[in-house]
Amino acid sequence: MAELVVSNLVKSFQNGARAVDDVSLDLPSGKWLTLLGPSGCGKSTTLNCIAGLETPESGTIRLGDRTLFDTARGGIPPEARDVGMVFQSYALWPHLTVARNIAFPLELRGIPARERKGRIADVANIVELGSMLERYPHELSGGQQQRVALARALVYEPKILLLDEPLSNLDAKLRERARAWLSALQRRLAVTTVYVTHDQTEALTMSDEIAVMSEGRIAQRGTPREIYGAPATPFVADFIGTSNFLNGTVLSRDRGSGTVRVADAEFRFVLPDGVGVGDDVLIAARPASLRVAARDDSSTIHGRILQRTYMGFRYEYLAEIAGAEVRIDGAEEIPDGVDTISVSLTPEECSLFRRDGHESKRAAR
Amino acid sequence: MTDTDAGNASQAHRDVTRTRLATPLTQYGIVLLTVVLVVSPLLPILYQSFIAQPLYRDDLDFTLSNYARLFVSRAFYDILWVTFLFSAGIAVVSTAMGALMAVLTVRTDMPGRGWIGTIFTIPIYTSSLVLAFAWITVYGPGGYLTATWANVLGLPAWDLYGLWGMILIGSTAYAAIPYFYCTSALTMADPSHEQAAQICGAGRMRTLWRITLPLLRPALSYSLLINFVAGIETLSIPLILGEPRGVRTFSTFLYTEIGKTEPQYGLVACASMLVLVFMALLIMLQRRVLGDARRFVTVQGKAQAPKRLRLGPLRWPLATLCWIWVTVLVVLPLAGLLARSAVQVLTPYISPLTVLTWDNYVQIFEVDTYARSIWNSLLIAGVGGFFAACLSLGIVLVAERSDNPLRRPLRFLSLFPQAVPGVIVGVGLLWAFVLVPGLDIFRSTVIGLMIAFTMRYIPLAVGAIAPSLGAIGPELDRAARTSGATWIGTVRRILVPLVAPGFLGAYILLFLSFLREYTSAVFLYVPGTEVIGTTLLSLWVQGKSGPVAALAVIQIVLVTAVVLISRRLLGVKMYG
Amino acid sequence: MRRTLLITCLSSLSPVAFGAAWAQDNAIPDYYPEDYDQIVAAAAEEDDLVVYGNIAREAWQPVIDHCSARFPEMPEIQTLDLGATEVFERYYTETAGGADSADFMLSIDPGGWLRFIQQDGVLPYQSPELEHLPDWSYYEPGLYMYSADPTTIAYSKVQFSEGENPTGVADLAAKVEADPAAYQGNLSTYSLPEYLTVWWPFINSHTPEGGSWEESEAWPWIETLGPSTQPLSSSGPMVEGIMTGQYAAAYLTSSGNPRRAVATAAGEQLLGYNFIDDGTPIWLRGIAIPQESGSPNAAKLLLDCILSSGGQIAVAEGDYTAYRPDVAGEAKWHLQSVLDEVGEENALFVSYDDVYLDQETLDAFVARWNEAMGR
Repeated sequence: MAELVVSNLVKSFQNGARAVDDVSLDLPSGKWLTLLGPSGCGKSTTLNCIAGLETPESGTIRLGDRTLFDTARGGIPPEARDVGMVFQSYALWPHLTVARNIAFPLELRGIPARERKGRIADVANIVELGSMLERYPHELSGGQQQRVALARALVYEPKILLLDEPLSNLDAKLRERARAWLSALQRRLAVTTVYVTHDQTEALTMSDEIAVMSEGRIAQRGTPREIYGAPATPFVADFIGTSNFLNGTVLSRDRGSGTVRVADAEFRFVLPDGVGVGDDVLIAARPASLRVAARDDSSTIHGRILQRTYMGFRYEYLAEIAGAEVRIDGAEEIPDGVDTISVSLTPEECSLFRRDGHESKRAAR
Repeated sequence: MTDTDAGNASQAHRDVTRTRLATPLTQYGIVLLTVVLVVSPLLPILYQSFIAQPLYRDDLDFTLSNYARLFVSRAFYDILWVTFLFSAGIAVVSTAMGALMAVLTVRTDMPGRGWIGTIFTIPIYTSSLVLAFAWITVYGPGGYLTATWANVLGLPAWDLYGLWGMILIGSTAYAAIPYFYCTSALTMADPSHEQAAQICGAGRMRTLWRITLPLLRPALSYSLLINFVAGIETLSIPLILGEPRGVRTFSTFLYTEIGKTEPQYGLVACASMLVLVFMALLIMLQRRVLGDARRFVTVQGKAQAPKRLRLGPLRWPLATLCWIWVTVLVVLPLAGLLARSAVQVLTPYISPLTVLTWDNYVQIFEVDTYARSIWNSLLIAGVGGFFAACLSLGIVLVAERSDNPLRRPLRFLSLFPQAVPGVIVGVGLLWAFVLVPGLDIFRSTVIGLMIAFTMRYIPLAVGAIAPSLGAIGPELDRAARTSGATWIGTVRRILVPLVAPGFLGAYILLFLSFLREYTSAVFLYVPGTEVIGTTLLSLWVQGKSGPVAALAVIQIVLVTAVVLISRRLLGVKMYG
Repeated sequence: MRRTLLITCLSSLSPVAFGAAWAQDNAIPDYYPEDYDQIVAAAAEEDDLVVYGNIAREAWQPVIDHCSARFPEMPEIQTLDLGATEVFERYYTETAGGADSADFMLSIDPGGWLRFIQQDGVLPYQSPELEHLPDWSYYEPGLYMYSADPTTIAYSKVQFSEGENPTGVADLAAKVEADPAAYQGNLSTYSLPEYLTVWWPFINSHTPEGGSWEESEAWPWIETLGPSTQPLSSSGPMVEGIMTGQYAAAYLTSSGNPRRAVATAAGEQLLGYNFIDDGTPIWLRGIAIPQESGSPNAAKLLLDCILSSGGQIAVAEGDYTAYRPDVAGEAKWHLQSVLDEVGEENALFVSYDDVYLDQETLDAFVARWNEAMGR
């Protein structure tokens, strides 16, 4: 297994826009890094650049002591990179049996037939496919196909395993099981893994580290806990867990914290560097940290109810607070005819960002 | 699995180094081969168009006077006008016939529609040369029915020769193309549109006219363009039906001019260049209209069992009309051809039964030049068709499934021969083979004809292979690459096995086309390399209608056998 | 046709036996030069002999069989049936690039031959058979004649009852004049400019003493026939058209196709032909070895073979007309019987005249003819 270092990777679309814009990553040997982001954020392109399936314009990619790509010398072709890859569609070759699919990379590496047999049996056991070897891909279920694809990518002990949304074609129940299974397998084999997904749950539950990507750039890099607990940008906050965004203004600042006014209420927040008195700020609040207030006091925000939905065991209100639309859960029903709502906020559970044009757009959503 | 197997890794690297050159060599080899194939007939023509003397002379002067002379030549404008009338006539009439027949056979409950549709499409499997012979045998000035009508019954006769006859036969020959396009468009279209119209109170005919026909608009416009181009290209119909009345299209102009004493090579070349440019523009327009190169490939989609329109009391009258239609246009001419092949002469004056003979067939097989043309055609179709299919597969693989920087130009180049009429391919290659030292070996063997035919039909094969390759997900080859296979390894072990059915289909298509091709061969063949088409023409010129009919029947039998075998045994469907 | 095939079959059954007999006894007659066996030996080493000509393969077959039997050393003979002028054009194109071309040529086009001779295209060769041939059949430095073929009038036996058939162009014109309604586009003849070799001698033979071709007495006949005539560039379709009922008659057409037609049961019932009583143009079909011939020795064998007695008999088997005087009794078709029938004065030999190089005169002639034909 080897360490992966990607520096200043740039790759453009045909129309000139940047698909990957100055991306740098480093991943210690044996660890699991997840590239997380919405579709079109550049995560798959980055993965393909590492695999050699796409050629970046500039940057370097190193794997262990080998340089896979650099701007001056170009890249070595995918077949020479010694990477294992699992595709979203699994990409099993329909004309070959499971055994022949798994044998293919070994044949290319000139492994003698006897040894091949042993290694195929080993890897088939690891992915729990021992009895399926003579079947053809179309005779397998989705989960089985996914495991064949994994076996095929692992059988030649690649230096790195690249997984491109491998669970997205499974149904919800199977996906949950596969998550746990895949995660455990990776820990056991300690293979350096880059995992691409748009599913935050997969990212949070399986990764050693997550890189959240947006518009070709890395928005934030950290452990699942860091990413969830302390999103670096409103985008990350929005993408990881549903967040409500409230508009506020800094009234005073005292060292690391200060008073922020949100609508008609005031709260004490920890303020990041660079946020000063008079600045407009954006407060990202997890759904759980915004509640219908039991009673009015000075720390209650008042808003106007736009829509109310009965959810069975609770109510969900869509309200307008200081120019932003937010969703608020409440256990009690607010009677019809009352069109104002009182909301309480837990500042410790919120993240606060300085507001600029770009972010206000997102907040107004 | 934590311990790395250093031995395996270095083995992999050795393999990679060994084969690193193979991939670019193969890819650029395919590109180069395609360039040479497509350009070699065109360069000599371009060159000749700027030279005052025939290009084989030693004393050559560069000049623009050829173009100048061409532009002031009234004859040239006459030829262009006739070519336009003929091609436009074929395009309009064949599309109308094809669309009407498609609507009647796919969308209505007309009795016998299956048979009618099948018979209607027979001409696409025979060549237009054979069809023209068949028509003349029955409807020509000395045709069996003409003579019966005029000489025996004493009624005023028609004249098959001339522009109208050409358009009628050309339309019959090419009507299957609009028919196939319209059939697939109609089969895929949602029948609920028609049901909705009927619920709204539209009558049956009104539904056909207002709802069904507009659904066909893309298929119609595409068919119009394709058959317009076919009209410009075709040699046999104007040669056999136009020349006797002095009706001369561009193809026959080239053919007769080059056969003349002291041919005006410069003019021929200039006219060819202009037609090439015009054809290229047409084909670009065609792409614009339909977006891609599906010239020979029918539109794909889910077939539904269409709800058929009830014709009611019109059922039987319409069926009768359709039977008369296909009988007059297709069945009688082909029956006449078959009859002609078995008698000394086909005339109402004596009973054909008294002059039955095998002589026509005997002559074809006994005279070695004629017999050889059959074997040559089969050899060219079998071997040449296979190589052409392989090259086309290579082109599609490089153009669609590689990161070669030239893949886009290659795609364009591989479709360009659509714009080159067969006669030009023949003349251009003849000049190329003759002018370039060492290439004569191609001309004196069937290899030259294989090259010409391959150049002609690469777009057909590319069009047949591309969809089946497109149906193979790109992740399959990406998976092979990351598993350690080179591009060539991926092609060999993953793509080729998967695309094999598409390849086989393309091969059969090429086999049939090569078996019927003759326009590019008329200037290229030499003693020993005759093909069925050239022998048919030279027998026709000698007035040997019996052997012509016999050889044409042999060709039809061969084509039918190939079509039936590939359908029954291999499940490959041609065209529709 | 049937007879041709029969002979083809027979000779191809036993070429070896035939050849052996020839080789021992008759292959090289005693009047041939002593070193002729060297030509034979050299021919054996040569590649296939490629013949460009304007006659069909079946007509060649008896000649080829005969020559191959006489000289077993002869390489394979390939024939290509082209237009009379295409024979030369193709040769020019091919040899200019140094490509392989014809090793032996046959064409009915005098203009083509004269230009070919001017350009030193013909390989000089003195055939040992020359002394047995008429003077008119040889042109310097090596142009010989394959056959001397009369033209004919072919007619439909359905349209013309016996004794009513047209005997000449003037006679046919008179028939048309008498009953124009019966001749609506159902006549045919050779077209111009392809068949100057027929029209030029015919029109000129009716020119008054000292007059020019423009004053020929034949023009009014052509003007009468023109509106009913569909000119064609090949006699095959004329004959086929007569049999199917398309044409009533074809004047100034060839003799080969009518001969082959009447040999069949159908043709015998439907078609008749005769020579032309007011002037029968007689074609001289030129043969020569081109300078660039890749198999010159084999070509010499073929040439001498064609000119020999046996060769001329074989030419007639292919339904072309032998002219060598000493086979007059044996050949199936011979010039002598034509001359006997039409009379020497009506035999119009198509000479290799410089007029065929005079494009201006020819253009004027073609224009006049088109006018007369109403085209």
